[in-house]
Amino acid sequence: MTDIEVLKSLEATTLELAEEYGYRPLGPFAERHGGWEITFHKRSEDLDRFCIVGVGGVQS
Amino acid sequence: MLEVARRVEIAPRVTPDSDLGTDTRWNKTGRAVAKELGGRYLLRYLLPHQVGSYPAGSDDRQCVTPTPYAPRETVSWLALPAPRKTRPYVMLLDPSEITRRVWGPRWIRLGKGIEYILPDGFPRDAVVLGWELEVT
Repeated sequence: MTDIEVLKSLEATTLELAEEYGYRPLGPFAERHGGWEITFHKRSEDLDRFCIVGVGGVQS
Repeated sequence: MLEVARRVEIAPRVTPDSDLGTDTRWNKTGRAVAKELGGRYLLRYLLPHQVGSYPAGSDDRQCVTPTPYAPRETVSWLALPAPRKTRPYVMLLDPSEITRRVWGPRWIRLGKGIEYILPDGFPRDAVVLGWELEVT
């Protein structure tokens, strides 16, 4: 698998897991200043809860 | 500065990309962004292995910020993963030359700065100088 294929696989897995716990993605799993990230958000009990999956050191 | 001096509304951290793209407050032209920034450039920070990747432009989604940072500041201010890898290179983009959509600004989640999203990337003409700069 190429790095991009691994990242796409990771995106699919994290999307599934996030949905299970009631989080929604705020954007795509994408490159940002040298790292790859996807951020999830859930509002509960008057708190904004974020879950960020970040990957560094990927040759893209 | 943007909020006070230029009355630019900055999207909350919880704003999804999709909402930026459908809200007229944050879905802008490059020329409009150039005007609200008062002629400042957009900055796209890079790791060493990315140097040479974008001088010809890109059609991929890009995240950029109008705020200049020293390499050691990039990680905390932009809330980047791999915190031991500071970003020592930057591309300067002229927003007035970006003939594609620009979304933002939005507060950076867990960071302290703001960012714009270039959902369709940027053209070659937007690259100031035509190459990356090393930040010292």
